[in-house]
Amino acid sequence: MIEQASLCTLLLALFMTYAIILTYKTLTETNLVKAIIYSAGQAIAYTLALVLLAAPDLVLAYVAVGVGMYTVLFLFVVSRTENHEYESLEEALKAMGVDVDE
Amino acid sequence: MSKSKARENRDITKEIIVAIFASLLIIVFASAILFSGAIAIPPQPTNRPLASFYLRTTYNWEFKWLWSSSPEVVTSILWDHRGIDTVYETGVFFFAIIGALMLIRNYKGGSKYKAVGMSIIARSVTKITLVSIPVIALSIALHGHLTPGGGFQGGSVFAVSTLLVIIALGLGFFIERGWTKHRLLGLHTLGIMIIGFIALSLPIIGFFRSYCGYIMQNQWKPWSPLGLGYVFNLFGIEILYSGSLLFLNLAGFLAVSAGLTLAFIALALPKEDIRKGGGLDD
Repeated sequence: MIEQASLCTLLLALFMTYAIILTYKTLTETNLVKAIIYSAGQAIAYTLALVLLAAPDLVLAYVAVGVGMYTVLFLFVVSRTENHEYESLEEALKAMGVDVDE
Repeated sequence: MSKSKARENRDITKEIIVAIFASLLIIVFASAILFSGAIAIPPQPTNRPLASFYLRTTYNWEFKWLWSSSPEVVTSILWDHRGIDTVYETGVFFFAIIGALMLIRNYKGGSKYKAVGMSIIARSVTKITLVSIPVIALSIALHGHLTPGGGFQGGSVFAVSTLLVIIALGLGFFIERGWTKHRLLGLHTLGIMIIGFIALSLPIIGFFRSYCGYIMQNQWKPWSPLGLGYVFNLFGIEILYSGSLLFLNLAGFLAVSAGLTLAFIALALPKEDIRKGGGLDD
């Protein structure tokens, strides 16, 4: 049987790896709604890591803010603008049908 | 044709990888809880000096001149040891809400919103959670001095339920029940004012009775004999309320829940109604 503390450390490493992967996906995703969902997944991974670190006070605040409010707030903001993140200004203008010659 | 097929295959491979990762996560976590009872890293046999100082003084009945009369060390540190810091945090939150209100300063109100939302299934589920989430939020805030949690945590859990209402039942649900901008801002300000009143109560009492009293003081000290007490006697049953901590938690709950609800209502208002107030195009 594995010792409890080392098992917890292993799980912690697993959750933090998930968090890093999801953060990377959030940064590189160009579809903003998908990026927000990746960000919420990162918040869930952080929540589980905080549970393992025995910080229930932080967990209660982090679940409500990170998963609930933060996600919905950004969904509100995205619903008021466009769903796609452009690489550059020229690309955005081209997508809108504006002529950029020079 | 083959190109799109290759893309489809790649998508399926991606989904399979994601599914394997997700199921691995669940299996590992569940088996860890089942087989070793590992939910959190267990307390270490030796604590660092700072941690042992707080653990020894926060709820030590033999050193009452050092304690804050609450077994919850985090809440004691937040509202007693570094209480003024938390008061300033609440002030920052107040100004953030005022900043959010700037966005809807032209909104006059008075429009009728029908309580239209999502389908009947989503509405029914939301109505069930609408009972349970505020109860849990209030219990987190009320037990903030005994178990993990507190005013801010309870308030933000409550705000999640208002978000659910705005999404699933529609904004009209609040407007019909008279949750206007001014009432919510009034509740928010009331919470802030209660915090300020409790913070200043002991210096003011001490001023009139010629004792020494500090801002955000909770329990008595040898050089400052004023305190807010810690046990409430209800028909022979002694209830620990930990001095100012219970009241500060409740006031914080009121301020945070009303403020966040206000911010969400402000964000969810239709653009046309805010434009109708005029003055935004200047």
